[in-house]
Amino acid sequence: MATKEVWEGECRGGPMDGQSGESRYPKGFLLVDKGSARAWIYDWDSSTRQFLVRDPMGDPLDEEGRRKAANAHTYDVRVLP
Amino acid sequence: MTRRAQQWEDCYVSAVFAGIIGDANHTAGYHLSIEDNPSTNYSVVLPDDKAPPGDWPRNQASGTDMSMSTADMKTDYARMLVVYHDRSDPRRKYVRGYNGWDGVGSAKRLDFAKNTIGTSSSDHKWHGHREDFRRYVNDPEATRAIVSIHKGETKEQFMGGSSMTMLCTFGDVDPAGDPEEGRVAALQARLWFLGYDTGNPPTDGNYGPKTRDALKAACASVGWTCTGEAFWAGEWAALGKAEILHWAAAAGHTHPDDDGGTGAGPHKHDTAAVGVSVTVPAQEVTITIPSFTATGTAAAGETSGPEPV
Repeated sequence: MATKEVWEGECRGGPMDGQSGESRYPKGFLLVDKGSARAWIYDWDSSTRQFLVRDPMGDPLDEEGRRKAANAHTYDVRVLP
Repeated sequence: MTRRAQQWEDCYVSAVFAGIIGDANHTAGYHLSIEDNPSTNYSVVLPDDKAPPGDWPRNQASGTDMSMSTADMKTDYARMLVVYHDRSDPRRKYVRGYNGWDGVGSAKRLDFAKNTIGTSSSDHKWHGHREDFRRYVNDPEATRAIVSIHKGETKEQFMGGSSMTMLCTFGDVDPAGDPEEGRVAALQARLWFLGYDTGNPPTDGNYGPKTRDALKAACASVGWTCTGEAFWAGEWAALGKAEILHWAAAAGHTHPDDDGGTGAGPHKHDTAAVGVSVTVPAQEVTITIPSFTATGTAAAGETSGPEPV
């Protein structure tokens, strides 16, 4: 099923530094790595049209938090490509 | 997150659940319930998606999104594609559509109802989107079938490995505790894993009405009538016999003899009380269930149980 709007831009910092990012939601995306049990928040910057990592070191993965994010419609939930 | 979504996520190292509930981007379709959709939307007009009064729920979505790495996405798409192309695959009937990517060109959409392959939006290069027919949204057999696809099982593996096999490969699970309670807890765990309601908490070791009803429903799913009365006897032989009976009936095994044996070693059991005679060859099953993992080889009459982790 096609989505109507997607936010696209370069990622700055963190595991996706320099890579192209995409989110279906306006605030950015949560990057999840189950293997290392860590997550990074990438905030969408509308002025530069980039995703900026909030903390390059990331945070311990909050299982409940990431599931809530999946249905919260503000941040997308993604994994490393 | 639903159990079906959790099991899809568990199929891939990278996979992370990315949503079910509709939002500004999903204003119609399978991410919304029947009652929240326009009456003419494609997701509520097919027979298996409509909900006449009294039928499957009108208030649940049946679309799931799963973010994956490129490698896992390509694998998942390939597994779906195999089933899409095989009209004889019984798992096919549960899936309405799937959006994903094979790594080449645009993201793709597999429409199982129309039997077409089209393109999809670019975000489906990194997240799979699966639509299940609404009538099966709470169906445990649908869950087993759909998860089987994501696991990469062949059609033959799915058809040959009855869900009942999993019920018949456990024994004493808690040597330090009450053996019968342990066995019942193990049974409950498997029923719960298969999607049946065994109460709250799901593995309390008590063989109550919900557990008995769940077992009867699981047996019925493979076309066998189960009274569940064997468990009330509280005897290992009866429990073992019921387990083996369930598995064998599902696998189509029959045997006229009964040596009345119990415990370890191969046995032939006559379940005259319910009209089925069975012989159970060795069966290796590995499952992972909440709080413990079970791995073992169950020879006829012998069962191996889960070990707490």
